[in-house]
Amino acid sequence: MGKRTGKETELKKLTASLREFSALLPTAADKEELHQSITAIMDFLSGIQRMAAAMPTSENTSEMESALRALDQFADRAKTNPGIAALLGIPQPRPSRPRPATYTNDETATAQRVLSELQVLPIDQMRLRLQDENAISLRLLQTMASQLGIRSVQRTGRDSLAHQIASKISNYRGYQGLRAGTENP
Amino acid sequence: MPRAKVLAFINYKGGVAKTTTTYHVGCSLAQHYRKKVLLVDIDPQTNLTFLCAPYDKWLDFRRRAGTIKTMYQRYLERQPIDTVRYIWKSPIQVGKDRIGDLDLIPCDVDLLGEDLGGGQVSGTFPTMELLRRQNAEYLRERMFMRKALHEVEDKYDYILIDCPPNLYLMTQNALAASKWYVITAIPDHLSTIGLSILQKKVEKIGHYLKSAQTFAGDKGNVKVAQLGGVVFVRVRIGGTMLTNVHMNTMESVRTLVGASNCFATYTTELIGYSEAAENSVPVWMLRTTNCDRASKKREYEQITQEFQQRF
Repeated sequence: MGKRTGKETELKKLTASLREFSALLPTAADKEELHQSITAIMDFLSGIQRMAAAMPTSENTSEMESALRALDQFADRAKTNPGIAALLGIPQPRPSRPRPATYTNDETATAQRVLSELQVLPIDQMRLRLQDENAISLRLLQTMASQLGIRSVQRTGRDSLAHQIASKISNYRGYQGLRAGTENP
Repeated sequence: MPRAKVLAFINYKGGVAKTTTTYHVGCSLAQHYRKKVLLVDIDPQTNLTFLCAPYDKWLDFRRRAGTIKTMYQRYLERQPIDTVRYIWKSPIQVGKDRIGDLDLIPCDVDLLGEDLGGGQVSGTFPTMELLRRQNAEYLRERMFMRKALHEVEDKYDYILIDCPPNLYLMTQNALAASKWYVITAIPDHLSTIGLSILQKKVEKIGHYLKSAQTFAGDKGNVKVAQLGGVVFVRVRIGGTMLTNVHMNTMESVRTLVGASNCFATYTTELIGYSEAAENSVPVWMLRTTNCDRASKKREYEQITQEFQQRF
């Protein structure tokens, strides 16, 4: 009686564990998901295999070196060619501004003397004198312009400098005249 | 024989490049398009005059011939105006270069005050005769420019009048003498507000002139200028469309006054314009770094091209 009872119990245990096992078996959807996961892992590993195959070997360095040389030459050309520099995204160096000219004390004194002489002349005579290369050298003209605060004198031509100096003096006379009320005829 | 197209450049707001625009458009018409141009400076600040010639030259011309103030005095004294006497031939010059087809009627700092107008109504009982005389005088004070320019309009293709930043007597004269008025405006909020007011005020000036004509029994055909266009000036074009206030305001103004009333071309803020102004020449005639930079953009040449298509 006792043995029988024991066997029955074992059988029950077996069926219970089989039921448990069957409950734990994956569904068809679970199997499909598992299959997909394994495929993804295999794809990943195949990718690594392909990359390893594509990795350059020591035999490839000569080609790489020649490519590097070509790039170096391209970069050198970019220094003188703004178009290539722009393509490579290299910032363009700004054109260096010429340093402001320095004038000697003698030059400055001469410029101031000539300016004071010009100040009493009618504008047409002033212009004529300023444009006369024999009377006033370009260097003296530049010193005078610089004294009057005219900018970029070294890059400005003689006619333009002469015009600007005459206008400055005439305008200054105008400010003075209008302020003093002496402009009335 | 050309019969000039007369235009007034107005805005009662100051600092909106009225004078610079009048000047450069005039110079470009003469130099780039071979048109005969007369510039008329009626702003007592005399800036257009000083853009055309340095102080000494102005002083000399004023001594010899006179200015718009002299013309106005002669008109008030009922003397013949004789406009041609006050025309300064080709005042713009750099070295040997001269703008041959551009002349100027210069202004005078002493015009300040005259500009406010006289013809005040007296305390006398307003009989019909007095009313007629007062209106006739009102009309006469505003017909000076029209009469003066009529004498010379067969000599020019364009007559451009640079007005002071107000709508007083001289500007009213310019509006009565012109077929169109051009507004220069910086595309910012305050200028936008001003544009609507300005258009209404000009219409009102027209109504007053018409009424004065009726009361004075005048049979002439008084017309006030029509809006010829808005030119945007000193536009700042940096930034994106979202952050660029000027671009946005230009769009608002186009909606407000009508896209066809706004010039498509405009000028930007460039130091070259100030530098050229100091030397009494248009920006393309002075060879300095800043002027070269401004001149390369050809802004005023493009405006002038559009100007000719419109007028």
